[in-house]
Amino acid sequence: MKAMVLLQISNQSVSSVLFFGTMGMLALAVGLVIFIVFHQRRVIRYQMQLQEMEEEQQKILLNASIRWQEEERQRIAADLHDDAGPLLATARLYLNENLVNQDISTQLQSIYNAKQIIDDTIQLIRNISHSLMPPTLKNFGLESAVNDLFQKISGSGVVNASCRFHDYRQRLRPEQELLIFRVIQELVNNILKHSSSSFIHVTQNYNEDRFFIRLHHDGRGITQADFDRLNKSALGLGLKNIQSRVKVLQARIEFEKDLSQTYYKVTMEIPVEDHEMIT
Amino acid sequence: MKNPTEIYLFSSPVFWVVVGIIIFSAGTFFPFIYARNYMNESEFLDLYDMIHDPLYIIKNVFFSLAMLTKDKESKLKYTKKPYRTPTSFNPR
Repeated sequence: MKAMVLLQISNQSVSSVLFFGTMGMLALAVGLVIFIVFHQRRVIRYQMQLQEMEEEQQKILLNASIRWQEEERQRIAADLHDDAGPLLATARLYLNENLVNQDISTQLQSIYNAKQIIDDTIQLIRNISHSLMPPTLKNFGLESAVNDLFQKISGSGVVNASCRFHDYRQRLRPEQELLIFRVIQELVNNILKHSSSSFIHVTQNYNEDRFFIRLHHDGRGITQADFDRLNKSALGLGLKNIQSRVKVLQARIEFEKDLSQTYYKVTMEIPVEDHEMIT
Repeated sequence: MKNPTEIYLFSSPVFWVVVGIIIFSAGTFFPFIYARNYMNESEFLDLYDMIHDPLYIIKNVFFSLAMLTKDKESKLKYTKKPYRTPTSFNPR
């Protein structure tokens, strides 16, 4: 009798343990699965957001480069239309059909004037083409091109521009050189436009497959935070251009204030494979 | 972690298999522990069946879901024909 009661009690406790234990285990298992699913969803959403942000940034850069291209075209069109057009029209006026009926000295004078104007036009077109693509860069490399640019700037007497290439025995690939030159040009342009500095100094170094360009100036500059901010805003077309060029070069660019807090420094670090260099 | 579509859980058959195994093992944990000592009692057996059988069905449902889920990678992988073609057949 006693054994029966004991068995019943134990049976009851066993069945309750069985029931509640199983329920608890099931709840734990389902909870675990639900947790994993929700966590995964959150990760996916986060990644989507990241991708969206990246796409947005890409779009801004693309827009900037398109706008820049259009502006460049407008500038070239304006140069050709406003300068070359009138000059050639004037030359044509000197060389009209009535010239044959005039006396010889007038004829000579007209031809001389027309020649002068055509010479001017040739010079003008040469300037336009040089500003589009500096021939020194193609023929003599980055160092000469930057030197040339800085000589022109120093010639104005307002800013003292100098450059020093420490390790430039081999030229880079032409398209890389062009991109680097454009970035330097844009940086110098910005410095001349905004910073009111008294000197610009560029140094170049080559170290462990990395090509370094450092640019110092003593005017009002920008730091990395400013650069990032302007890159995300609608302003700063030139900076976006720098950014997209740096991206194409797979390089890194850093804007900072010097330790002494007097100079602003821009460092560009371009990865260069040894076989990429033209010997 | 590179491509979000790759880590979408419901599209991977392994996920369903794992869920089935987890739920089945968690649910049958206590019945299996007691089974050794109480298998002779009809009351326990009823409870055991009541817990085990639905879980077994659920597990199999999850497994069939796993089989129904199309695996993108396996669709791309074609294996060679397992049977002999007339040209490869050589009786000697």
